Amino acid sequence: MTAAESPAIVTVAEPARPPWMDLARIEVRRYAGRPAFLVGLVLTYATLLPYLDGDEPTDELSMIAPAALLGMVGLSVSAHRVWASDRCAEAAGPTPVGQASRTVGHLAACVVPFLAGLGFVLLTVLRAQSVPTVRGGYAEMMSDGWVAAVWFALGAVSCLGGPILGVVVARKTKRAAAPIVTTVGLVLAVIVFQGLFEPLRRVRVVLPWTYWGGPFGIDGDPQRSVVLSGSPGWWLTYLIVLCAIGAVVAVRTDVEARSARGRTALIVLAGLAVVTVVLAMFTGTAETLVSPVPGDGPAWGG
Amino acid sequence: MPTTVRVSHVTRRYGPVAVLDDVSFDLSPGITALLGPNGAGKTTLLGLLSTASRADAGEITVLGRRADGPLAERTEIRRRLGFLPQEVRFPAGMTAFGFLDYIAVLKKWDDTAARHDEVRRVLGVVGLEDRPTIKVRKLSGGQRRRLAFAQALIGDPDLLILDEPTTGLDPEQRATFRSTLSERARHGTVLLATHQTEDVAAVCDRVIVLVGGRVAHDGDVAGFVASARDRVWLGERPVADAVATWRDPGGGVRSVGGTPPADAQAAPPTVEDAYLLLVGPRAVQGAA
Repeated sequence: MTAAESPAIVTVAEPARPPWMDLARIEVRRYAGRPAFLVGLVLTYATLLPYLDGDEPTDELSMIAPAALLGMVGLSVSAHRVWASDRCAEAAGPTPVGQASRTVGHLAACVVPFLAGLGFVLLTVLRAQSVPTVRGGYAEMMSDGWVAAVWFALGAVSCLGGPILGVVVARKTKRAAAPIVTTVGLVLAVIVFQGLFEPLRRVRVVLPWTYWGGPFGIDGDPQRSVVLSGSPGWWLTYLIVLCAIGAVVAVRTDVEARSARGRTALIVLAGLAVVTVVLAMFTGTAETLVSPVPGDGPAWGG
Repeated sequence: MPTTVRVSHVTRRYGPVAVLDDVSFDLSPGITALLGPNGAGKTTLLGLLSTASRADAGEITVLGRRADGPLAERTEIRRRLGFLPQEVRFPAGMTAFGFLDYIAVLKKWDDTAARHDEVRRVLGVVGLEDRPTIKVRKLSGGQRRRLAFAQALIGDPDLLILDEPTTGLDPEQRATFRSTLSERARHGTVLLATHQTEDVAAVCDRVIVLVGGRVAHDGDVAGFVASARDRVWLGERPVADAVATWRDPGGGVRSVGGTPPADAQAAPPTVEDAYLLLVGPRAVQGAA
């Protein structure tokens, strides 16, 4: 091969910062502008309105608003954002910035619903500090750390986990119904595991959403308030590990981005998940605490 | 003239079927047409050249890098490559500008101001500079095709691979497209996979014809057309054993190939005639 025939070698300077940072900025902006997210945001904060000038007790039940309206809705929002970016990428063919970087951008955008959920939890905490009876119910009997862990896990981490699960779902399938089917499946699992059924109360913490107390009934009193066993602190850690697993799984769907380091991280995280969920089951409150007040009377602290 | 692409004895199989079978050719700056009937392996070949997939045998070098090499080499190729797929599914709700801006990020344009300038430039090249904020779903089919073409032009790539780029374009848009390609050909390499033989005649320097996964012809366009000389006929009746016949606007019948009747006159051939003669009945079946 002569010099004149040699293939042209081209070298281009590397960009100043990792491309996922630009993608993250774009995806954060786009996530924050999604109508489904904005409606969920408004409705979530609207649930605080009845508490503005009253002393209505607040407990973990109120955390269902951000979990459902930001977390579960976020599952669909994320999935559709991933698919939209896939279409862009397919339109350009193979690009220097691959699927893994785009996935990281989408994962970064999950901070939007997380911050919205965190804001909701902080407002609830502030209210709990200013209105003495606000904590209400069974939670009044538990420590501040116990309450904070439960509220943070249910109200904020669920808003992170739902959208991350949406990214994972979109990376695993292109079926348009997948986000809805996943959401419905999650809701059904929560209904079964939430603590209503006594035999499942120990293992309920394997779910990313579960109740830690309420008028679930016990010993023939269907309305009796109880605090369920387990450690919400370890459960919170378990949920964060689940989020990390979801992120790694989503990134690793890009075959070009798979590495031994990623596989090791996944194995370590899976181990951590097992350890933390077992700790969540067997540490903390040892047994179900039962309100001395009968079910037809006021609940804990009422 | 430097070689931009070198394809050497490449084979690609899908199961037992060899979609590409021992394909070899080089590409240099200029416009090369890639013709072939449906199923000839054109899209598979473009996928290999764009690093989307890998060959089962043989070697492909693009811009001095191995297309089946390590990720770093493939990334280098992708940085200097513009690719327009045959079918583009646009994301719902995006604007023309937003669509191109996102793809520019995927092409590692990290300076926001420069990236936006580049997006405006390519919008101007395809004649959509006055429609940056319009939603993609509101664009016509031809405008969408131009938008898809615009993304391939981002970064002024050294190698442009276009799969059926003129589908859905009106004559004026097609003329604009040809002008753009001609401009590109001055300093870059363009591989144009198409069924539009008039585009080949208008702008291409060279033509490669794939038939059944093999290179059936590789040469300049003039030579390709010349291969059909004295094999295209105008007469009163169709030639019985012609590859294809159709009514001529002049009132006669144009026949490609076959044994001409005594009253038939030789007609000046076109790229399409040469293609039909080379590919034979398969071309007619593919077009049906």
